[in-house]
Amino acid sequence: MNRLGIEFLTVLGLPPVDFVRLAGKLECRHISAMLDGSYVNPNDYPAFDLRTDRAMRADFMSALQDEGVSISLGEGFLVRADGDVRALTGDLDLMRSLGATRVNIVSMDPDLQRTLDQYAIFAELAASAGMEEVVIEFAPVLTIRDLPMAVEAVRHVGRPDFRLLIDTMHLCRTGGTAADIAALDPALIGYIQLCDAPSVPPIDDYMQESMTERLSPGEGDFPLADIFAALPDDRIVSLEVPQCAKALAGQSRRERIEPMLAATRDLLARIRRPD
Amino acid sequence: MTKTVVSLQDRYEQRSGQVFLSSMQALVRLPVDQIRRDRAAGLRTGGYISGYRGSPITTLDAQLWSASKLLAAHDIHFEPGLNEELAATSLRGTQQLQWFGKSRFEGVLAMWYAKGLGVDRACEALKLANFEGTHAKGGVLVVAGDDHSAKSSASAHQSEHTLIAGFLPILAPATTDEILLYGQLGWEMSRFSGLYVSLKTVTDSLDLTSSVILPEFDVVRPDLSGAPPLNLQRGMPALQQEAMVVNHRLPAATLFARANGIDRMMIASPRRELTILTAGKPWLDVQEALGDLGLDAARCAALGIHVAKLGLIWPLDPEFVRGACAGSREVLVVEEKRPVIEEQLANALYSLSDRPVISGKRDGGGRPLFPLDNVVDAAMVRRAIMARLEALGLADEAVRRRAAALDAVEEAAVSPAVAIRPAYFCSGCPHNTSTNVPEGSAAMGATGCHGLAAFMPERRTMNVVGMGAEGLPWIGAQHFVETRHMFANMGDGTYTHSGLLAIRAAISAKANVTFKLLYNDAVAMTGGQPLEGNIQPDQIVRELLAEGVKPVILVSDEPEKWHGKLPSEVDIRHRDRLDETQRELREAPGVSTIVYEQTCANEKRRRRKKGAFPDPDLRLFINPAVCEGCGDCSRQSNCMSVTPLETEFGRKRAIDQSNCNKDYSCVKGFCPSFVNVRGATLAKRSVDMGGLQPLIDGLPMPAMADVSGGYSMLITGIGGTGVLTVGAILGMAAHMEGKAAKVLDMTGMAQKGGGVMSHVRFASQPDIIASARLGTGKTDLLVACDLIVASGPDVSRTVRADTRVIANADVAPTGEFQTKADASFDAARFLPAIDARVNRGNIALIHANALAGKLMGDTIFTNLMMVGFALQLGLLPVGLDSIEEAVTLNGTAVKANLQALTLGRVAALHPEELLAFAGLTGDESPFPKTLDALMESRRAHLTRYQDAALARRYDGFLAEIGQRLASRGMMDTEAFLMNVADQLARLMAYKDEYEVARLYSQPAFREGLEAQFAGKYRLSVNLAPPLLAFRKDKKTGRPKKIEFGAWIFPVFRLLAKMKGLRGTAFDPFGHTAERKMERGLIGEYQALIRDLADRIGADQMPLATEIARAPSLIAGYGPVKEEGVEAYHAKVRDLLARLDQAAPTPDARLRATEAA
Repeated sequence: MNRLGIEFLTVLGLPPVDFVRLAGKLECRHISAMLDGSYVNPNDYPAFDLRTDRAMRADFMSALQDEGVSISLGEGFLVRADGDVRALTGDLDLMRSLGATRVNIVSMDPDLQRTLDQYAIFAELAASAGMEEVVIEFAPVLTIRDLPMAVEAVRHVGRPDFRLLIDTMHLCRTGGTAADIAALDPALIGYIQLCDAPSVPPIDDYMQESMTERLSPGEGDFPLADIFAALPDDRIVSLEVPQCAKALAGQSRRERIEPMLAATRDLLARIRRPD
Repeated sequence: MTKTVVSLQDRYEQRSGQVFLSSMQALVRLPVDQIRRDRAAGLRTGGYISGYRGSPITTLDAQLWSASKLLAAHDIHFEPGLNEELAATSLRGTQQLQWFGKSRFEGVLAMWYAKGLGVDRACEALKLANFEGTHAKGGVLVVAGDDHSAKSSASAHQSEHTLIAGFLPILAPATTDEILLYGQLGWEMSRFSGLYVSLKTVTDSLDLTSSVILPEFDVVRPDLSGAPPLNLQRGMPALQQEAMVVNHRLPAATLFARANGIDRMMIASPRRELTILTAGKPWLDVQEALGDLGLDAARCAALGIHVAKLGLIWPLDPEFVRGACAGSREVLVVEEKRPVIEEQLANALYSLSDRPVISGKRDGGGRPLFPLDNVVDAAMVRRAIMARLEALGLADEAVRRRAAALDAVEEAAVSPAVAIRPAYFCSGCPHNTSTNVPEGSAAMGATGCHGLAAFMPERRTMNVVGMGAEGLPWIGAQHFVETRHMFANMGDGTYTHSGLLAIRAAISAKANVTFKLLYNDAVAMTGGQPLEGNIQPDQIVRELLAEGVKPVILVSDEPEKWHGKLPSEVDIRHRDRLDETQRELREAPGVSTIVYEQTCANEKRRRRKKGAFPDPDLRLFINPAVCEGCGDCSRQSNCMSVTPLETEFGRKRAIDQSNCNKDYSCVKGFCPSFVNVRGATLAKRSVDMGGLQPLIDGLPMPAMADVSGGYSMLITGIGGTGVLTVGAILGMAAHMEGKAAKVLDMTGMAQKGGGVMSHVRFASQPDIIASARLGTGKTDLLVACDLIVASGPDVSRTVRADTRVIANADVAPTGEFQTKADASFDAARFLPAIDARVNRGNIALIHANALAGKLMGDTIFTNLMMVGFALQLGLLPVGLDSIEEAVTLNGTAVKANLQALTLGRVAALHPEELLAFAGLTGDESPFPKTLDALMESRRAHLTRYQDAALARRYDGFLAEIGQRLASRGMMDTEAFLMNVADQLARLMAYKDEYEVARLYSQPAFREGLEAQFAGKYRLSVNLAPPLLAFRKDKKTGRPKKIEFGAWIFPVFRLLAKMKGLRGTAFDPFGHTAERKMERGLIGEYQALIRDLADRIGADQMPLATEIARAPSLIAGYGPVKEEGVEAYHAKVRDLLARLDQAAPTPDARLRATEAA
């Protein structure tokens, strides 16, 4: 199966239709989608908003169909201290109408208990909207900081369609190991975001580093082969590798992404997992 | 006597005694006083004022508007004229009142005003109205403002001959007191004679703020029995009108003047030898000159000097002058420019059998005495009086001694100007952009601030023509030259005034011309008045289309606001497309127009202060470390707010946030150093007086300068920086203390950043001060808020050895900096001109800009700081309490100004402590002074830039060159090596992406921001990265700069850590032509320096040093740097050719070989 995908962050704000065309050219069947543009935008792409741009939505869906690409992950869903996830119902419906069956959610609300409650509500809303799965992401700068907390959250919500998103950078930088993954019930893992990075953070702002500069598999220090050996082999593996510096240096999207895909295929081949 | 209560309303409300007011305010008060007199006499009159502004009557309309309640309370209506002649004709209606219908007024007194050039153009309207006449209970006063020295005019002018052509009697006030007196007498004369009566004023009497004794007088109406009714008679045939004027009205005016003592004997001596006859401002010069010669009334009487002063200079009262001059051996007429009095005098005296000799423009022997052009001053008058006293044998030793002493001071050398501070477009001024013309084209200039383009050679703009005739010389010239098209500038004020007709004329003449209608929504030249009728661009474009102009294109800094609001034929474009638009229109046949719409920067500033204009939440900051000092931002913006910043690495640029008007054109400079700052306020460091309190508490109460014999002060500064406030505050303080003061502001194009001066004279009584203008050697205290203006000959000739000087050591750059990146603005460049005339010990320096900027967040407070400094040194003739009270009364930023005053006082006694408190280092330039220090600095820089190995290579090269030179016995190589050390480091540490990223990641960047901005602000950076190089800026044609959000900063930090990739195969940035060129330059320069080190002789060292410095031309980024490299190569080629021409002589070669 072709389980390689490209995450929206990797294309640094590329508008949706162009993103689909690119994925098609690179023979990737999966992309993640945001309903609006990206804050990180070195190419100065025009801003967009699929919520209000009906024509763009139609073009996007046509492109997805033409290229045989699907939205493997709907992004941009967030628990805020000053907001309620019920307000996201419209976005969920819209994402579903674009074909997405999976969405992720992160929390910036420092209140853990409220986060868990909001997650549960969101899972219910997503299911009502026709989503098949919700995945939650952990990261050192989020309320759910690491794998154990994420596992706890998934268990707290306690639904089979509410699972984990494993981002290799977040996993490794929060002390997670291949053994930790191996110890998990594979059924808890719903989606994988792949990148490499130095083990020692080059700057002290994790959020900014993870949003702007990551490395292609094999270029960094993470034990990706071990981790992938522990991960289930039928989940979508999507590249989340923003590389602003190379973009600023004039490297095209393809110049940046093609080597990543090749490196990922090599990685999966080495551990004899299907790509 | 100290006044107990002083308020700003005194100037209008106080009915008697002494007030302190400007001449413009006197002109506001004038009709109010007349109405008061009328009402007291039981006469129900109203008032009407109209006219057109122009220097020196620039701000009368603003003063009238600000006194609107006062005017309304006195039934006075102010209607600013569309132009001078229309305004003049509108006055006629006030005298024809009864014809128009029933009125609750018995009469309307009217006042018209204009500068002299406006008098010229309104002559016909004035004459026609004058021939018709005035109402017996109304009266018309025509105020003519003459700019005799053409400081702020298209041509030098005097109004007398035009007024005479219109048959208007001319009253010539010398002082503000006389403006009030003659003004009221003028209306009475007008009512009495039926004539329009004029008030001839000049710059020196209009730019004046002074202590004024309010006039108290009774009007005498002489008997006119037998004369026909003189007042307005409609429908009178032309010849009858003429006869009425010349035969009856003018004689009546003379009669009125005589009856009311308008002409006066000022010094009447029993013995008559020499009579001096003068009027108006020259009378002040005569007074000053007589005082300088020690000739008071008693001495004049002893020598036989008789002085008469005319109030009515046309028509001359023959009876008065015959009485005044009869029996004298000679009459000396003192007047400016072409003779008016002298010619009438000759006529009046010629028939006398014992007529005296008349001297004036020439002496009795026919030799030139007073000039026919320009102005006279007190020194000129003194020398003329002295010459006449000698010729008549009247001079004695006492007067000779005094004259000789003054001659000596005047003849002492005055240094020529080191630099000038010309008027220049303001920061963010639309004209910085709008007056550009495309390569191969030229423009015709016009009246308005944009007229300054004529002084900027790169703008190829012709001098201005008269208002409303813009572009018309081209109509004449077009048939006889090969040029096919011309641009013609026209301001919006001029368009409203009369310019539309010029466009119609061009259409009629089928001219190929593009009018550039510069709409800035204010008459900025004269103080930012609103346009008459509030005409808007949408109306203008409709008018132009209706006239047949095609095409009409609106260019704006905010084109989006015009979409959907203009006719469909009007193309709307962003100002970035101005060049393209002009290129397009110069090919279009016929008359086309660009309406360039952008609000005046000063006006924006004023409106923003009042909350009446959007204040964009965006400030620009230049990261000095990233800045290369190339000056491209100055070239792109032409903006005065881009200022030099001296750093360890040489001169960079900074934005003066105090006066930035947020035009943002500088961001088009092609470099990555521009940071957008949003959500910030300027970091106004409220001074923690706690730290300074012990010093403040210990300040002794300053002594006060003595004014009993008068005290004179000259203040220099830069227009628009509040410098005129100093004179105003000190004058008011003196007024509060019951002293007298005269403040003469000499502004010229002050609003445009040009040099300004205030001449301030203090005395115990108003009549002690004659002329406010300070002559040679007359300044007791020079307060040089700006050293460039202070070092100019106009100022330095007014100082003498014992003058005290307080100088601001921080010199703001002039417009020179915008085109000459290395221009020096060090105080040391300007001080010698003052030094040459003043004892060095009398000069005190203060870093006022730096202190005000650092401690108060705004350099506007420099001025009060200077006042505090002078005060504490005991150099002011007013006390601390009065100054504080005057500051409070002034009402602007009172707390901050009082704080600045205190800081200035501290600076006077504790300069070092205050500089330390502010974290300033005084004069110390941060650029390393020695080779060792320079190398240490650059070594550390290169290590940070790349690594220690790079620093070692740098060191190694310099050691090698040092050895090569030493091995040949070369001495005095420090300057050469300093330049090599500096330039090689610049070339080695070329600013690639890693370096720019590193420099943005340094703490110094954030510290620099924090020093200027407060609040929680957001940052973004303007970059033109290689990936977007294909996008071109419409204005510059270069790769477009894109704004990158705050996410870029972590990217910078990551990039900075990737510097190890620099120059390697993995360097994603290293393959560009620019980087390859930069790496190539290092080796090229090293080879050049090695070659020089091996062959230059001692006498070639200066040239070699110049070659070593040549890479300084390589600065900036991208296309700017490419141009710099070209210039560098050209310069090196040129210098090497000169070096080879100046090859060492055989002797020198021999010496070098022996030494080796």
